[in-house]
Formats: sequence, C-alpha cells, structure tokens
Amino acid sequence: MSQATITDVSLNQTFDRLAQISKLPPNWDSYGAEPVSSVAVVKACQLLVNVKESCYNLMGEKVLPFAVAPLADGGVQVEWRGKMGVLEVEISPDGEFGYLSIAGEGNSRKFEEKDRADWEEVLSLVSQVLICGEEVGNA
Amino acid sequence: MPEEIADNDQLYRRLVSFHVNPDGTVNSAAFKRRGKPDNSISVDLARLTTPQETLERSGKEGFGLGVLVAIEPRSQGFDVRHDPLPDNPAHSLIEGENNKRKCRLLAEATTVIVPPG
Repeated sequence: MSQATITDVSLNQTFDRLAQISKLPPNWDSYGAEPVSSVAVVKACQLLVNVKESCYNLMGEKVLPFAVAPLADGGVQVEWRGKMGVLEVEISPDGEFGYLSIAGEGNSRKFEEKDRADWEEVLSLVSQVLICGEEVGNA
Repeated sequence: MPEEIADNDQLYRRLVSFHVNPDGTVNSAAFKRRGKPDNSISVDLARLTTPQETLERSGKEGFGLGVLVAIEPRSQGFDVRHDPLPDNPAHSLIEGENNKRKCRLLAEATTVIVPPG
C-alpha cells in the first residue's frame, strides 16, 4: 500500500467555499450583516494551510475543517471536530483570532473561550482537537 | 401591543446556507454579530406568523428557516420578549449577555425546518 502524501488531501473545496463567502453582499443574512473582510478570508486560508501542514502526517483528511461559515461582522469562523472535542476558531474582520473549545460530550462538556488568541495558541488547540483520541500513524 | 411569550412558544430565525452544517445542524455563526456574540437576536414568534411570511420578510430567495423553543434561550439566562414592528408584528428578541458558549448552545437548540435553497 502506498503511503499518503500531503498533496492527497485537498483544501480546494474549502477554498472555493471561502471564495463564495468573500463575495457575499451587504445584508447577506437579512439581519444586517457586513460583507466578509478579505483580511479574514486570507487569514482563514493561512490557518487552513498551516493546520494541514502541521497535522496531515498524523491525521490525513481529518485536517479538513468540519465547517467554514461567515460571521455577520465580516469575519469568518472555522470549526474542527475530533473524537474528544470541538474547536470553533473565529477570525475577526481585521484578522484577530478568538476561539471556543469544547471538550467531552453531553452534560459533562467543558467549554473554554477566548478573544485575541495568538497564532501558536490556535494552532496548538486545533492539533489537540484533531489528534486527541486518535492513534498515531493511522493516516 | 406586545404579547407574553410562553416557554413552549416557538421562535423562527432565518438561516443562510453557510450557517447550516454539512450534517444539517445549525452553525453557531448564525447567532454571532458585530464581532461578538449577539446580545439582541431577532426572531419571529411562530404563532403570529408562518414560515413563509418569515422567509418573505428577507426580501430575497434562498433563505432557510430554523426553529427554537423559547425555554431554550431562557434556560441560558436570556430574556425572550415580543417586540412587534410596524412591518413585522411577530418580531421578537432574544436579549441578554451572550458569549461563544451560549451561541453554540442556541445553535444546538435550533432545528432546521426549511433548508436554505
């Protein structure tokens, strides 16, 4: 069996979605939303590429986000899901990170949230969500 | 005249396609605004309108509709009150201090009844 390489997992579908998000007009949600900032879209692309590069060897296609969604203030939200939890990363219109981390399941879930998180912190949290509970080398 | 909203009253919220996850659940982004969780979320009181009317108020096609029961936001500490507008007698507000966790819980409590087109 040939070993998977990093190019086997494509972010193209996610980038296409971000391209659509970047073209949303004012009031795209019918509740007064702002158009999505190009800064937020570019930062989201950079984050996705970094996550892929840093986690692909362990996780394979699981590095792809579960969801990518626009925020009404002109930001972007990216969500990853793993066996042990969920991470929502918010990227503000000016490129700042925030996050909601959810560990566990059901009524015992633990929530942790933060605004103005830095790049390394977000990358570390994504890695934790993706890798926790996984067997190393199962990609 | 504003009406009392009972705990078991249903509330409608319009949804764009980007706010419905691949598994059909609602993304918490649907409840975030202005760079922060929204402290005043517009919804329609279901018994004073219809799904079609709520969708038509967007003035555009392609929106979906989510429904949540008033007790869900109330159990998270929100006030839910009827706030009729001249052009929308069903307009209501979910108000109160919001955060990312509550946005997530609101999204999880919302069921898609009309998928976005």
